[in-house]
Amino acid sequence: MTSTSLHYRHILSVLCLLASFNGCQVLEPPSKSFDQSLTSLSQFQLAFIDTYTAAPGKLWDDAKFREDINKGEVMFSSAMAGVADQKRLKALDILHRQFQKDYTFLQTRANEGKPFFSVAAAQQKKILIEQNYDLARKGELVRS
Amino acid sequence: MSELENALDRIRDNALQDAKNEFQQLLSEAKGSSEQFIKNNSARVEQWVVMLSNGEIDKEEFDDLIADQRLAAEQFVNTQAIGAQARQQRLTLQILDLTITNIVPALLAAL
Repeated sequence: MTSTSLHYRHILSVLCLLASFNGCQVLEPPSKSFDQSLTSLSQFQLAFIDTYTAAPGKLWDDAKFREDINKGEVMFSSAMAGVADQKRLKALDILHRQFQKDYTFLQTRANEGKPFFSVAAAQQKKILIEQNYDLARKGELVRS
Repeated sequence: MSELENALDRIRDNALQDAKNEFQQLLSEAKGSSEQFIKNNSARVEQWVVMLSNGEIDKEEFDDLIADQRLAAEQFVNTQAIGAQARQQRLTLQILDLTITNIVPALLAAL
């Protein structure tokens, strides 16, 4: 074994030791696939709000509503599958809960005979959804 | 007088004067924050209170927006270093809690 390779082995040992100290967290690097998941999920969620915003002549279609919920649930399950990083998983969980809250709200309103988001509420909700995805992306930048 | 002050002025109940003052003080503190998220949070709550008092959104929609903002606050905290989390979460959630528990019920009763 040469002295150079021994030198590198020492450096690697020190790095491994530092990483194993209590409180020293090794973060995963920013993930391209995570970013792609965020993009497709945000497009889906914003379109979902548009679809279920009141407009003249728009009628409630319960079968389509169920179909859209299932599609969203599948997208979130697929995005969360295999994600090991806890902060990344938490970010997705928050976005998922927002989607679940939205469809539960719509379902409750539909049962009460006043389906759809009002235009004013939908505009605000879209700003909040975009903000939530921006924050999830910001969480990725913090790691880099 | 701002639109928010006009809306809050409708609350005449003397027992709620302290809550109104605390609400305005918290909003003012948030506006002075160096963190953009905290500033946006206070501006949005202010806007929604005005929208509710003008009848542009109903109480259920207002509560739903507040719930959305709570999730955004959770997301925001998820991007922060541990030390900054509690301080920033405190101000954001205090504003949201006070709005829901004191300000909005009194405002709706006064409309």
